[in-house]
Amino acid sequence: MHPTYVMLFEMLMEAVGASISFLTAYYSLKAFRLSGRRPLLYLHFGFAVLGVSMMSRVFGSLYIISAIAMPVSVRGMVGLISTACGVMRIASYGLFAAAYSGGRRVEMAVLIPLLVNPYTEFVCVAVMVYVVVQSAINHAFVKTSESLLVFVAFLLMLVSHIMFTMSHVRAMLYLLAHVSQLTGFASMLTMLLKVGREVGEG
Amino acid sequence: MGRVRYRSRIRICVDILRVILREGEVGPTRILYGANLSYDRLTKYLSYLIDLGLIEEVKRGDHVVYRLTEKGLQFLSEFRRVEKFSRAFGIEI
Repeated sequence: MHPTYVMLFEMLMEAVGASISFLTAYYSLKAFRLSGRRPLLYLHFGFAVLGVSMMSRVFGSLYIISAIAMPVSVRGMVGLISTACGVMRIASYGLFAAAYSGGRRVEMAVLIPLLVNPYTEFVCVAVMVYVVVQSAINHAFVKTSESLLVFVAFLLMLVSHIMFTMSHVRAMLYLLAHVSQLTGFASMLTMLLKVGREVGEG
Repeated sequence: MGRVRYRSRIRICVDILRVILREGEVGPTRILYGANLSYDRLTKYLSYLIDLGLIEEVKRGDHVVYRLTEKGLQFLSEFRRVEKFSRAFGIEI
């Protein structure tokens, strides 16, 4: 497949994911302003940083598409974009973990991205395993469709990171990873729409 | 023995509003028992909710009753959405 089409595909997927991330961040902030519960603020920052990370990839992809036509080496830029986005993802997943842990380890969640090496996908997987387990435990207790959708969303994001990590072995996994990530965000969006449709008495 | 979990201010307000919503127009005694509050705290919260425009005081002869305003109804609706969203992530408010 021509690199331009790959980058366009990447841009589209990341743009959709970023939009849903920002929407979730907005709703989290709304919930925090109403209730004052700190974990909601961590959730807000987590989704906001995740959205920024994904938008960075969109702009990075745009740059690479424009550079492909010119005799300019993009290898260094690709590496930089990849590392920067990976670090931001770790920070956002760390904030999700902090939201589930009640904010006791938020300082470590923010510091971790500064301490790790560039193999960020492995760290993302490690942190996301914790987030997925916590969301599964939450669903086991509350048993609502919304909590199930959140669990499914985080699980699919974890699966996407595993596939991204393995995509150097089989290129098809790169495509499947994006599909998994997008489906995860679709699950999050479904939850937001479900919650937003609530009307009537409190 | 488990740790005592105190209600937040917003939770107490919502409990009061839900009692009023359930009853329609209701006097302070029914709210007291429904929301499980002391009289002193109840009067403070009722003043607070009236100042916010979420409830209004109505005189019925010698008695005073409270009812939800349109703003109060919208607030409860919005709180329910926020509650569902937060619970989806395991955060209780």
